[in-house]
Amino acid sequence: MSKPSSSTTVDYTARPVDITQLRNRAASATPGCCTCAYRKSGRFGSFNKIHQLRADGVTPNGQRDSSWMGEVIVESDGTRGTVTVFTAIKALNKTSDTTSYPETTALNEEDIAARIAKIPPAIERAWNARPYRLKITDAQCGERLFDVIFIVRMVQSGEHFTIDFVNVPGMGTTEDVRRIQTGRSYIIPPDRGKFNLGDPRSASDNNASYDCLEPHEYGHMIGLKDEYLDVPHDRGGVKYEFPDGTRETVTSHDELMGIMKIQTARPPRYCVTVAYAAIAVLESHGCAVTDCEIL
Amino acid sequence: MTTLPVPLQLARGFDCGSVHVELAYTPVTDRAHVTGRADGDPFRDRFEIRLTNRGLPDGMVFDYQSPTPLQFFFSVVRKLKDGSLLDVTAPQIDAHHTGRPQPRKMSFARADETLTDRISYFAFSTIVADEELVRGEYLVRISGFEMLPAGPSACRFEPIELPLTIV
Repeated sequence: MSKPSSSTTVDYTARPVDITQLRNRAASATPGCCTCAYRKSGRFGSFNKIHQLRADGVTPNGQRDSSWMGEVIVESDGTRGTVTVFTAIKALNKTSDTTSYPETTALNEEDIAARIAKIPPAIERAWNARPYRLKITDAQCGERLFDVIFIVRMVQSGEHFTIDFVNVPGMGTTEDVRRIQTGRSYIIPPDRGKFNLGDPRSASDNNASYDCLEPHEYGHMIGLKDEYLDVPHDRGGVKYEFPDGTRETVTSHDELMGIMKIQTARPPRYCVTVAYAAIAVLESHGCAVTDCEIL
Repeated sequence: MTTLPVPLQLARGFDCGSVHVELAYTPVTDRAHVTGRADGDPFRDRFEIRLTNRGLPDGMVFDYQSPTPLQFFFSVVRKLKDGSLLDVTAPQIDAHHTGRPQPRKMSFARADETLTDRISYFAFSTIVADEELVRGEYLVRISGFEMLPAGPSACRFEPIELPLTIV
């Protein structure tokens, strides 16, 4: 697992208190201000800027960027700033719910808490590794550079996502209550999903060399689609449309939203839904964004 | 005012050679169940496909295709006030996660035994967005498919349209 670059000045260790301070600053913001914090917590609809493609690599298969729940806070001092993407996850221990999730093996609350505690740091390491930056230009404030910071916390209430945690060896051999392979982790938009602690790729175990499962699922939690080539399922990549008008068609296999050979979020395209969310937050507070580039 | 849960309703019965097939379903549900967010028994509201042995030898293995994953078989349309129909089907998770339809091996242990395939309404969350499953009248369409694809009882499930009320 790659660590965050030592050359960055981004603070990856923001605690809930920092989120509270950001929220407090956002509460007193005035519209169209270049040195304010703006915030939205709730649902970010599909921006219709990502299209999954069929195996021919050209034809859309109808899957596009998903709507997602989260909190996005955009703050600036006039020239630089931060886009904070905060995701609060509520965990439900479903490891003994064999009615809904056959083959799951019970974990007690203490064990599951210890394992789940490893997940938010793993997601943050993966998603803050690049790190992403947005160069946003708007009519009033001109060009500003924003560091993007991903913060994930497990919560008891106020969640953006509710995740059922199961403990199935590998993928399992049967189907769960939604008729999906019982050991397979997934996100159902906009606000829930299932994570399998028994998947060897999980960040919740003691094998730190392969911690990509939850970081991959987190990509779905901010609206991204799977990129891997999957001919039997007639899928062949993803087409992205960026806020600056450029496009990219990818049939990537190795990246985090592909087969996860690369376990950190590296391509600029993985920040596209956040870029659109940040633009939406700014525009809903009176800023007229004219350009946004993902760096 | 409908009191939930409502009993299963038989929608179709037919013979596939030596196997009698029945489809039953819950005609009235609520948002919590149809979006898969309800506490309690997730199979309270469901489709139920019953296969009853009417003459297959004990232990004889046959293939059975369940109409799942739903995205390959089901569509959901809402009846609008003006009488028109709005298809609200939109897969929420792709086939890599759900897998593709895959017949499973089954066998009867004795004559007149019934094997039951239960499909919880929680599975609707894989093919319809939450916000589309509001109170109202719907039609659930199941496409035709080879339910028993081979052998002496091979036969096809013909398309069906089932009225569903979300209260």
